[in-house]
Amino acid sequence: MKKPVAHIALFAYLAVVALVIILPLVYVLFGSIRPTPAITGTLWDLLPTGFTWDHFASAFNRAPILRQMLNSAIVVVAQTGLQVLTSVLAAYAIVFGNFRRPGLILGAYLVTMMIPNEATVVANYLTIRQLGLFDTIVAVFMPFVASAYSIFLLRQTFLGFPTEIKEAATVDGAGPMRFLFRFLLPLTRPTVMTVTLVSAIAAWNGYLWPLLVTESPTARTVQVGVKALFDEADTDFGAGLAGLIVVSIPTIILVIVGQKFLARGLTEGAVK
Amino acid sequence: MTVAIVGNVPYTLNCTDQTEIDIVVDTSARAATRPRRGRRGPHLWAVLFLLPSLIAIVSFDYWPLLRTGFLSMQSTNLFGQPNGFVGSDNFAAMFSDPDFWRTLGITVLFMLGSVAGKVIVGLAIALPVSQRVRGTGVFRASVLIPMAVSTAVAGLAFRALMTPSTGLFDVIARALGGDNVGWLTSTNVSLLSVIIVDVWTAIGFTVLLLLAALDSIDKQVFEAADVDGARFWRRTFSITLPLITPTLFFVVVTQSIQALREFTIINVLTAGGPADSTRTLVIDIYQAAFGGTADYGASSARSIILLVLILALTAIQFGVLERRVNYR
Repeated sequence: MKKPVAHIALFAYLAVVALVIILPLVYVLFGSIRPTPAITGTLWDLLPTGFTWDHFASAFNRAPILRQMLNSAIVVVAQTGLQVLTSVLAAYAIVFGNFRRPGLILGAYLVTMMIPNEATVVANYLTIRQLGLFDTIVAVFMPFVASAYSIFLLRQTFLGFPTEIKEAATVDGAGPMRFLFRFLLPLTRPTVMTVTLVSAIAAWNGYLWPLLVTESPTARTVQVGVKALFDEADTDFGAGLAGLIVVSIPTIILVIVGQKFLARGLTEGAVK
Repeated sequence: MTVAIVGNVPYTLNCTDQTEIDIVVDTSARAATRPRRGRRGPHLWAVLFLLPSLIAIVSFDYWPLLRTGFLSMQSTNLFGQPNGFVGSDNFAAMFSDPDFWRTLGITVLFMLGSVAGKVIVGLAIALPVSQRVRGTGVFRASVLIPMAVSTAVAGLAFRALMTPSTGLFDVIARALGGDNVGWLTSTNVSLLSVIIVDVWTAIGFTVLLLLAALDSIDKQVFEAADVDGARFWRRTFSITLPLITPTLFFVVVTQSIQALREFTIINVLTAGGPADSTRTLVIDIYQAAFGGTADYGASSARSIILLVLILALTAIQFGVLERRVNYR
C-alpha cells in the first residue's frame, strides 16, 4: 500500500463504511432534534435541519421513561453486583478451595452456557409466577444472579495468580477472606472490571426476559419501555426517536469509558 | 471464619512440599489457634463460597431445563395450567404441523443469511483496516458503535429507517430510481431486512475478533509474499484467510448459535410478520406461550428442538476448538 492512489481509495472506502455503520444512530439523533415532522421522508433526513427539544419533552410525557431508567439502573446494580460477588466467590473456591476435582465443579457451571435462556423462559416464567414475583423488579434480575461466563473468566485469571504471593500471604496469617479481598482482587482488578462491565451492559440491554415478567409501565425496564413508546408514538415519531437517544446514552458512555476492558472480555471469551 | 480442624498433625505429615513445611514451622505458635486445612477434603469456606452461585444455577438453569422437559409432555388448559400427561402428543402435533416446518425453514434461512452476512461484512471491514495504514485507528473506534447500543434500540432505529415510504431506505430506493421496497411489509423482503439488522448489530464483535486474528499473523509471512510479488487478492485468499480459519470457524459457530437464539430484533421489527414470514423458532416458542393462547406444552416442545439444535452446534464448536489447540 505504498501508492498514494491506493491509499486514497482505501481511505474513501473506509470512510463510506464508517458512515454506513453510524447511519442508523445519526438518523435517529437528527430526527429526535428536528422540528416536527421529525422524519420528512426526503434526503434532508440525512442532515441536521433545525433544532428543538420538543420530542424529548413529548417522550418524557408519554411514558414514565425516568421511572423505567431507574428500574433499569436498579436491575443493573443488583444483577451486576450479585453476579460479580457470586462469581468471585465461586471462582476463588474452585481455584483455592482444595477440591479434588475442581474441573468437575467448573464443568457444572459451564454446562449452563449451553442451555439457551430462550429455551427455558417458559419454565422460569412459571417459577416467577409461583414465587409471586411477577411484575416486580426482583423478577427481572433474579435468574441472572450467577454467570458461568464470569466464573470462567475469573477462574482463568485466578489460576495465573503467582503462588509466591499466595504463600507469603498465608505466612502472614491471612485467612481466606483476607487473602481474597486484600491480595487476590486488587491484583486481578482488570478481569474484575471486564466481568463487571460485560454484565452491567448485558443487564441494561436485557429484553426478552423483562418483557415476559413485567407488564405495568412503571415496572418495565427501559428497553421494553422504549419499544412500547415507539409502538404508541405512531403519530409522534419524534418522541420515539428521542426515547431511543435517551436510552442509549448510558451504554454509549460505558462502552467509550470501558473500551479496553470490553475488547479484553471479548477476545478472552473467544479463546475459551 | 470458622473452619473444621481435621486433626492436629496430618497437615505436616502429608506434606511433601518443602516450602509448606517451612510455613508450618514458621508459624507453629499461631497455627495452633488458626483454622487448619485438611489435606484430603475441600475447605469448608470453599463449599460455602460455591453455594450462592450453585443455588442460582440449579434454580434457574438446571431445574427449568427439567421442567421444560416435563412441560413438553403435558397438555395445557385454557388458563395455562398443565392438565395431564400426554406423552409425545405435543411433539407429534408439532411434527405434523406444516407451520412448524415452515418455521424451522425460516430459522435455518435466517441463520445462514445472518452468518454469511456477518463473515462477509466482517472481512470486508477487517481486511482493509488491518493494513495498518495511518489513520485507520480512528476507524477502529467507529466499529465499536454498534456495540454501544442495545439490540432493542438498534432494531427500533432500523424500524425507523425501514418505515414504509417515509423511511430513509425507501427514500434512497426512490432517489435511485426504484420503487418503495416494503422492507417490513413485503413477505419477500422481510427476512432480508431482519438479517441486515442482525448483521449490523454484530459488526463490532466480528470485526474486533477478526482484527485480533489478523494482527497476530506473523508479518514475515507477508514480507515473503511481497518478495514473490503476490497481489492483494491472491495474498488474501491463499495466505491470510487460511491463517485465520480458526477464528472464522469460531465466528461461524458462535454466530449460528446467536442467530438461532435471536428474539429481540425480530420481535421489535416485525414481531414475526408479515404473514409469519419472519417467524423463527424462538418467536414460535414465545407466540405459543405468550401470544394469547398460553399453550406451554407446545411452546416447551419447541424449546426442546431449540435446545437440541444449540447442543449440536456447541458440540461442533468444541470439536473445532479442539483442533485449534492442536494447530499451535
